[in-house]
Amino acid sequence: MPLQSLQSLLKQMKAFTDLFHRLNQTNSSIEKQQAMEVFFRNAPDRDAVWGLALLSGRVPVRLVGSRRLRGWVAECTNLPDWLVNESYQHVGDLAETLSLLLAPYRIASTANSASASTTASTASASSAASTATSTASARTTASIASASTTASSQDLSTIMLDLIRLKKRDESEQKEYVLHNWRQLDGPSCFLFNKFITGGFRLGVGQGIAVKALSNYMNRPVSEITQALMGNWDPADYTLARLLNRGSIHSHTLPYPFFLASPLLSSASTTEPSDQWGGEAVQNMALHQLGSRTDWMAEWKWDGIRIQMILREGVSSIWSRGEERLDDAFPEIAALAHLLPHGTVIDGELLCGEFPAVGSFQDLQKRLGRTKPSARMTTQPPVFVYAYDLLELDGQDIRRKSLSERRWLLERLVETLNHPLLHASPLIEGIEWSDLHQRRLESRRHAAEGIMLKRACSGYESGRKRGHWWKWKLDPMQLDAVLLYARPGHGRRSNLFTDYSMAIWDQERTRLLPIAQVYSGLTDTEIREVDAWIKGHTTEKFGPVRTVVPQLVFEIGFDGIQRSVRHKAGIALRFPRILRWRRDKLASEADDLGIAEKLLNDRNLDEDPLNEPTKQDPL
Amino acid sequence: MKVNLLRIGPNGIECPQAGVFIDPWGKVDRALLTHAHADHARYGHKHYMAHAHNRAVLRQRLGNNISLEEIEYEETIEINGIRFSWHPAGHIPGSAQIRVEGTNQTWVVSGDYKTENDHFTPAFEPVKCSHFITECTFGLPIYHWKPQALTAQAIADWHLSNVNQGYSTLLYAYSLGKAQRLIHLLKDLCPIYIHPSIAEMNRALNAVGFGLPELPLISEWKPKVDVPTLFMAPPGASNDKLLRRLSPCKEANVSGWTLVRGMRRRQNLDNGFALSDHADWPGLLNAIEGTGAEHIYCTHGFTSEFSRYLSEQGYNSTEIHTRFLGDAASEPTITPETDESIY
Ligand SMILES: [Zn+2]
Ligand SMILES: [Zn+2]
Repeated sequence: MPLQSLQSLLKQMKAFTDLFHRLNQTNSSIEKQQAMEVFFRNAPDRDAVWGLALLSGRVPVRLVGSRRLRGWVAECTNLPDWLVNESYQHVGDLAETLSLLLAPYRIASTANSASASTTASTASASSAASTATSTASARTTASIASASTTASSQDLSTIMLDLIRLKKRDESEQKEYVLHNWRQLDGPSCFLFNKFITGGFRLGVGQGIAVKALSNYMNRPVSEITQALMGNWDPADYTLARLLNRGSIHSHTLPYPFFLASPLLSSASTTEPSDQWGGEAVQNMALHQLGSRTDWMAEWKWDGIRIQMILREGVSSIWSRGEERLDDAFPEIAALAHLLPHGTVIDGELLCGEFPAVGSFQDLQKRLGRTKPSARMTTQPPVFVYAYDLLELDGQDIRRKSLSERRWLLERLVETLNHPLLHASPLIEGIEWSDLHQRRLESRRHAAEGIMLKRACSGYESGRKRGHWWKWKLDPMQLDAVLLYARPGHGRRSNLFTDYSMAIWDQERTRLLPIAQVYSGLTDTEIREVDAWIKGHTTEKFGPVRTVVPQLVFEIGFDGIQRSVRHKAGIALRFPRILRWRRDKLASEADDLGIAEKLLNDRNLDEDPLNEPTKQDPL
Repeated sequence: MKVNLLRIGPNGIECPQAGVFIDPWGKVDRALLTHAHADHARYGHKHYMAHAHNRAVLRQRLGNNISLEEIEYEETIEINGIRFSWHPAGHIPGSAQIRVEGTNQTWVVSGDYKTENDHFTPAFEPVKCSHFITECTFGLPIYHWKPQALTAQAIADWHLSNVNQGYSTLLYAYSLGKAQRLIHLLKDLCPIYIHPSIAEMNRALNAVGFGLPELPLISEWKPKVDVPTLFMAPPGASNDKLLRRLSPCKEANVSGWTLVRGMRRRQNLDNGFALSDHADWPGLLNAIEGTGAEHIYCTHGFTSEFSRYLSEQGYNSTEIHTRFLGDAASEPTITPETDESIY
């Protein structure tokens, strides 16, 4: 290893080490995304690809078993095995235990190598090189040995390739490599290295954030990057550019950014007390502010998966709002998309059930949860699509047209197609706001979760742009929260993680604040699935409690909300419970304290939150 | 048969021949105190003996009318033929190891101690003895402290980055000991606003000659008017209304326990700094070696692990089961007056 490159290489591994530690220090998606952008900017290209593979959970490297590692660390530190085990019990994480135990070992050897001149390491490198020429089998050993000579200066890709190679070697070679790195790597890098070799490497991020970061850095759309990263790829085979242009991106399969509705809630400042609507005064004041009812189109807020169905250039694709491809999970819908006229994009909701009967969201999730392709090919339980909107027609982007015009085009298209699995989402009639109010209370009967209000003249915007699309949910007493900690249940469920600690974002959406402890409230199948997920995504263990990667989103319902100084979030929920698992949502899309505060303010105006108003007196 | 000079009775460490107890937990006539932390200095004894630096703190905590005899370091008191002396333990101001010398045996009760010199509290001195009762709060080999200067630098760096992002910094530190050590380390960095319970301890220590600076109270800082700054409060005050007005604010615990990432995480704070007033693993081992003692008694912390390790190293080591540990298990909260011994 030429000496002049040592410093720059040190920096390289450091880029990923820094990223790892920054990701671990924050719960904020924004900060995580920024950290990743910094990484992509600073890391050498090959490291960026490896980093991306690691970030998207693609490289499970477990070099050595736990017992063997504990034996080696006992040997290095001169500690008895039982004491290493006690330490492991206390710390709860093997990689961290190793790093903490090795701290003095590392300090001692760093001090030695610092006092010795750099010629020593050059000498050992060249002696390793000379051994390499002796025999063929010795050569491979030596190449690893010489790589490990400069372990502290390795970049991420070198370490990963070494680890993959070493997996097939015998114990003595592995030991030599590991011990060498233990001596050479500084504290944070040693910890990371230990995470790799114990197979415990995990990051508190989903692929979603990595994709966003990469999208910002490369200045390319999220959907394009999502698509490029799909399927199997080996980081060893790619540069970042080649990876992202893999099989050349089919931009014609990409969805438009989804337009999202904002929750319809009062703003306290503009609310005047009104007896007219009883307990519902607040929401209705907001409703009145929308202006004339005739300017608005209303439809049910369906409880399914929001999708875009695309057919362009003979290729169909189904995208969820979470920018996931659903083609494999719902082959009958993919087949339906194939029947669309060329150059068509439909926005709609994928629902479980046999039209017009709408089944439960849980049933829909059964289809999503299947991972085996064979199981995925089945079309049970049945699904269908309610179409909301038409975004592209005859290859023309028609998002600028008014909703009423797009809706007319959509209805004509659906009619022409006349397919049993595709229907236009019915509009809710009614001339007065008061009619709508009445209909909203019937939402449950229609298996809907409330009403959507869309301004008839609105274009199809992107993201959550306020003003034109509102969701008016039946039960506002719910929040989308992120699973943060889990512990096992009792009795029958004592071997499953069923008690969850849920969190929402703070006002700045930078930090997750625990807001409620909930029992599962999921179906047995879901419980087992979440349980398995928890076991595979634990970042920390404390006795029975596991800290997990903040990734799963659940809709939690509750009967009351009040201020509380005892809770970090400053609010407490009454009877919180899980309503459903939001597989379609990213943790970054969970609710925040601002929304909770709004609920709180609304509740304070509304004495009894549990009673729907019974009297209706619109005039 | 040789009778031991000290023994563990229902009230804790006892010297029957002198009729005195060291850091006792029951109510006794004569209590010799190593230091003023609540898990060592308890209410209700008839007569107290402690290092003079504890005067104001003890009177404040246990009442103005307690009967207290003040001792200086190296001063020897003879009770019924047994010689008692107090030696610096380096734990917090006023902390001492108590040496007990009889005809055949010399014992040292370490109390809580740390071996790193913090340049604020008189530094730990190894005291030769035949029997050493040592604490082992951090008696696992994973616990290695960085030199305090490095930790202070890390805190300062973090604080500056917080301020750059428009945040204040709130450090949780025990009001007696840790807080003053931090003030001493960080006082030149920026103004430090302190919780009233820390101010109270500062006054008590200044009354016996510790020259702590006069610092503004947290309540004096005006949100939205004053610039982001550094706050210090005891961990028990984390739900205090006083602290809720300090946002936006990044919070960190300053405790040896935060060396383990999981502990940091579990506290649900933004950061943690492993600065401890207890000895780390090498500190404990060095201290024990420095006493020259053959008989080691382990109390407070990882007693069984630490004692077993010492036995394997050739010491005659015994684990002491204290009532205090039982209490700690059922009462995990840290009150402002206690310290890391409780977790
Ligand atoms: Zn103490
Ligand atoms: Zn103590």
